[in-house]
Amino acid sequence: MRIKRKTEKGQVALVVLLVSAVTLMLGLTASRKSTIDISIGHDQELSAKAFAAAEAGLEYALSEISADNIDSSYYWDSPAAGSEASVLLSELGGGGSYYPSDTYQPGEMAYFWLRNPTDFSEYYSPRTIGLCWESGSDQAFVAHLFYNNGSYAVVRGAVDEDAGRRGLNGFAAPSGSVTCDSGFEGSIYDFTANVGVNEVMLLVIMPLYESTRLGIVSTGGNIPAQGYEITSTGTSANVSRALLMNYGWPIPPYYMVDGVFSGTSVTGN
Amino acid sequence: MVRKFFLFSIGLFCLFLFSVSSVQAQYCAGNKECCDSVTPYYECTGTSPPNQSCTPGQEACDSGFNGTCEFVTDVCNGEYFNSCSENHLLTGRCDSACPPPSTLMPGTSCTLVSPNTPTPPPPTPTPPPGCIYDCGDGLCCGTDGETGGAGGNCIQDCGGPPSNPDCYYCVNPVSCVYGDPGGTVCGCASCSLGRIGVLVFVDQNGNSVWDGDGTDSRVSTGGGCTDSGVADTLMSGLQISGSGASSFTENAAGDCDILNNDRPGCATSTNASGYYCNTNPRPDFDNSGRCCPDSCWTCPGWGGCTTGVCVDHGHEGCPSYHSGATPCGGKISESCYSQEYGTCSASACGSETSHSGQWYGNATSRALLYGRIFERNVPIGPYALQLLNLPSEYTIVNSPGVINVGTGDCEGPHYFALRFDNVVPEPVDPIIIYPPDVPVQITGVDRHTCYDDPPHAEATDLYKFISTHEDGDGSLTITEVGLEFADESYSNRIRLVSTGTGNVTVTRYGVANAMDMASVDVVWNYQLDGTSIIVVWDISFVSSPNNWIYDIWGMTQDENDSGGIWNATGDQFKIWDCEVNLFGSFYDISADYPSENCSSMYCAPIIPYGSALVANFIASDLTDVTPGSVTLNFSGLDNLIYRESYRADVTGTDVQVGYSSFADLGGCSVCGGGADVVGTCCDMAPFEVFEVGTGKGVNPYDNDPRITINVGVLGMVESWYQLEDSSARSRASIVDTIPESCVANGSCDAAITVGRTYDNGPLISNNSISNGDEDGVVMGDPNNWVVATGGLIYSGDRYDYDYFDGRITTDVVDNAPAGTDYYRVGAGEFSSWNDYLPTGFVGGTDKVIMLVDDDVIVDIDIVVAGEALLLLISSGDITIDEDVDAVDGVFVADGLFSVEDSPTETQLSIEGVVVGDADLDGTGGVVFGRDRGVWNLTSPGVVFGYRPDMLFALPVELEENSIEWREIIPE
Repeated sequence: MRIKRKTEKGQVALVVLLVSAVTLMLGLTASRKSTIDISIGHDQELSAKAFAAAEAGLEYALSEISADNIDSSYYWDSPAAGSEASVLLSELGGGGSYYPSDTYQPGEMAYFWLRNPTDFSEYYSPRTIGLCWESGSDQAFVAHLFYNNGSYAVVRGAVDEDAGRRGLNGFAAPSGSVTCDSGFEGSIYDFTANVGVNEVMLLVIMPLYESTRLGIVSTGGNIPAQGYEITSTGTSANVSRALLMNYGWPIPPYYMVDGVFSGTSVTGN
Repeated sequence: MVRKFFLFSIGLFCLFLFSVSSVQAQYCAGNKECCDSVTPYYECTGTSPPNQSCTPGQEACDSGFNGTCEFVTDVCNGEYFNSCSENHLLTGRCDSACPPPSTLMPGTSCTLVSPNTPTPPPPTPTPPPGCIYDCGDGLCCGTDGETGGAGGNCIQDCGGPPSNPDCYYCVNPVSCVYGDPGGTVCGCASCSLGRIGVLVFVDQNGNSVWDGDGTDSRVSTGGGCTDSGVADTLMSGLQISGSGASSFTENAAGDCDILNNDRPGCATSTNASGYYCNTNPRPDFDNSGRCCPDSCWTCPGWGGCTTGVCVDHGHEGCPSYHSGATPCGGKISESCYSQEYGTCSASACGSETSHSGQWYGNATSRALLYGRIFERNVPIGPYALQLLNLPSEYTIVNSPGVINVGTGDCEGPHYFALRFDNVVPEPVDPIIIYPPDVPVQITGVDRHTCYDDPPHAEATDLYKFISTHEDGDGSLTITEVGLEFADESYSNRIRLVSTGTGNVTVTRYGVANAMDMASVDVVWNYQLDGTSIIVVWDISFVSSPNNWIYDIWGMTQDENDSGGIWNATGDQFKIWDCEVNLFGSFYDISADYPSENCSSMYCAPIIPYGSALVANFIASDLTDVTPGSVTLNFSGLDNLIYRESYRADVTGTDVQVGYSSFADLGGCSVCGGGADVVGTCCDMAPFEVFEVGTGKGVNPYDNDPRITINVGVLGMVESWYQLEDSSARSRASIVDTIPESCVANGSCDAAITVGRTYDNGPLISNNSISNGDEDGVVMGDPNNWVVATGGLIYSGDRYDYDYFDGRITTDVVDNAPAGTDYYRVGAGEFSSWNDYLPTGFVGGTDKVIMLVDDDVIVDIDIVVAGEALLLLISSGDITIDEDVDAVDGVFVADGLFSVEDSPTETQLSIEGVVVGDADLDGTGGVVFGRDRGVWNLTSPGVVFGYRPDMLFALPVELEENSIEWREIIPE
């Protein structure tokens, strides 16, 4: 005689229950995942809108600057897109020092305005200036300092940390002491002998042999602004994203500093 | 009803505002901004009554309020703030509440006006008391145009440091008028610079103004372009000194573009009544018709001699600067003329401190050419004028001793004149009378014939004859000599009779014919009681002896002869050939010419270092050596080339300097073949020896008459260039071939780049740098900075044709500011510079930007004044034409920038910026290759000068903003 085992019936029920539970859990999980996915997708869309709005704010600010409509703040919105941007404009650089974030390649020129080209009353008054570069390797530089003493003129300097190279290129050794930012070292560029007070215009520094970041440090008065710093914060719903742009003053092609430039050779016959 | 209610409300609102504000004026002042919402305010445009507010959208204003309802201004619904800049002034009526006084900018106020009260116009800004020049808008300018400053308190201080830090720019050049040799000059240079123009001439007609070159006078004599028909010619050296004075920019008188620019009244090619300068033939400054071969040596490389006349007498080939007097006197040497000037010593130009193109402290000097104008922007300040190395008889007239540049007002070019007195100008069409080939021994009253070959149609009125009368055996004393023209006795005879030691009487016989002598100026070398007499006869005829063949009689009288009768002189008397020296340049008749050592009148020939040749010729009897031949022995450097048409100096062992003219050293090409080679080169062609001047020539009665011939030979070198005030960067190599000989004798600077006005910059190359023979000496002077290591040229940015093509958009072209001209020229469209730059001059702050999608040939001289700009961008090659002497501008070629050789071997001056292979594709480059032939030995073919002002003249729309951006965390 076969005895029915109640436990077997219960097992079936348990299995069914478990299967149902698993199924329910899977269903709930799937449902929750869909909800989360929808939510994430929505946030991404808002984030993208906010980013696009920040970009549009920058573009708008640049257009206003180009039109000479200079203001400390701008507002841009797109009701259709449901986004807006708040743009703040401030001076780039200026003050006691200025370190562009660029890393300059050998032969690339870095332009430092010692007189604000948009406001000539703002100029760097001392006739010495600290030049800073990244520590670590021996650097060499050529400096072209443009000034105006009734007519435009230029004076040049060249320094090289490497004594061996100095014997070949004729550059001078760095001199003078200057306090640079951490990770930088530097020397003093003295143009007192050539340039009068209130005559400075533009300092162009060209590193050679090694790439490096550069900076200038005042030895007295303020360094004039080097352009505009534009911060654009785009918002869509409750999502915000921000962009920071350094917009330097216009600079000429590098060969305007050289005089003679050739992509190939320079010869006399 | 609604409208009345609205008006009533507005009225109450304004009354409220009026009650809380102190009414002091009828307009708002102060920087303020409505930072709340605004309500547009509308008015009827009708005037009866005026200023009636209305509601927008209504069809028309009510009766009595005729007109339409139009927007007037925004009315602030809240408070104003004082934190805004001028850009945010809310103009118009102040119909809303003024901001609290405490929020106003110090010194400002805000008052309320009734909306029905017309708003008065804002007061006209006035400059502060004491303002020199009202620029408008409340700004005060100096009369030089200086402006700026918050208070407008700039004082006139053009050119120097600004009067205060706020004053910097010089704007709005003010028209001004200045006198110049040609009359009135109108126009202005930039206020930051003055300019000095130098026109050096002989005031031949005594009217104190420059009259141009003969019948082609182009320069006005009083505002117009009237041709005076009388030429003034001369040149000389001049020095302008002053703080920071710079070298001159030369503009030929034939290129009166600048003058045209300054003289709107000057005619153009389309104005028949006027005069078109550019089509004029260049002044015949050269040596037309000069005696061969003496004239030919002044034009090495092109001359040549055929039947006594230079093959090319200069109309086309001979550089104009080969003619005319130099400070060295009557004849010139090209080396002295183009390179140096100064007192000529016996062997070389005397200048050791003034070399053209070099910089000596604050002074600049350069030999000037007659009929040419030199201009240069110079810093503000006084400039002293100083004649260099000219006889004291030369004086400055019509000119102050000091020119103040830029001190009066906005000054344009200063022109001043130098007039030279006491000089005898060169005949326009000189007659050349050849003496016989050999000295003629007189037997009896012999006739010595000179002839005019070829006949000249015209001649001016001064002739110079030099004759030697000599008693060969020394047994007799010459007491009388004569010179006679025509073949009849006592016709136009000059008779000189001794009246004792050192004295002489001059008897002149003349008849009224075409040869009548108007004046005679005879200068003795020896007293008329010796055995040898050299006489210089300067004779002025009444009229030009056109195409005459005339005779010169030489007569001597023996004191032992009785009765003073002209006797046959017999074999004992000789009259050496007369030399009729009508060409040459200028003779200063105030000088004691016969006592002047002739060598001092000449400049040394070009004898490069170590390459002089010496040949000795010994003659027992001069009559036997003429004609003769000489074998030249030489020593010198390798690969020396005898230059044809090169003049030799002749010296005698027992006399001073003689004078000889050689036939060309034809056939003497390259001699040598190794270092220190000494050998026989070639025979010289027959030559003549003349006796000229006191103590000169060879005494045939000397026991050992000897003639030493120094012949210069030239080592040919390649064309080369020199950079001034410039850097040079190349992604390949920088090569220059500065001749070693030139450096060795001090004529050239061994450096590729030199500092003139400013510092020179470095030479940077990806490959190698060479200055030819001078390798390893010096590459830059004074900054000898050389970087010749690979990988130094950053190539991340390309400012080429495509870059500018993207920048020079239609919008930029259409909206170019006044004074700026953009040209976009497509492939095959460029035809003539006349379409773009007809005057060849860009002045003031004007800018000419040409974007050419093609090769470009620059075939006109171009002058770009300080702070002006010419920018030429080519997608192909840029070539400077052979006829161009000077160009200014920024030249950017995607392909090759090059220069052509000049047919006149003229040096090319380039000032500005030069770029080749701008697109960095490895094709093209920069070739400063102007081959000047023999001139390569002493000066570069191309002199490039960097112009920093052009960097700042570049339109901002063609520049690039550096942009970097990143995302940051929102605040």
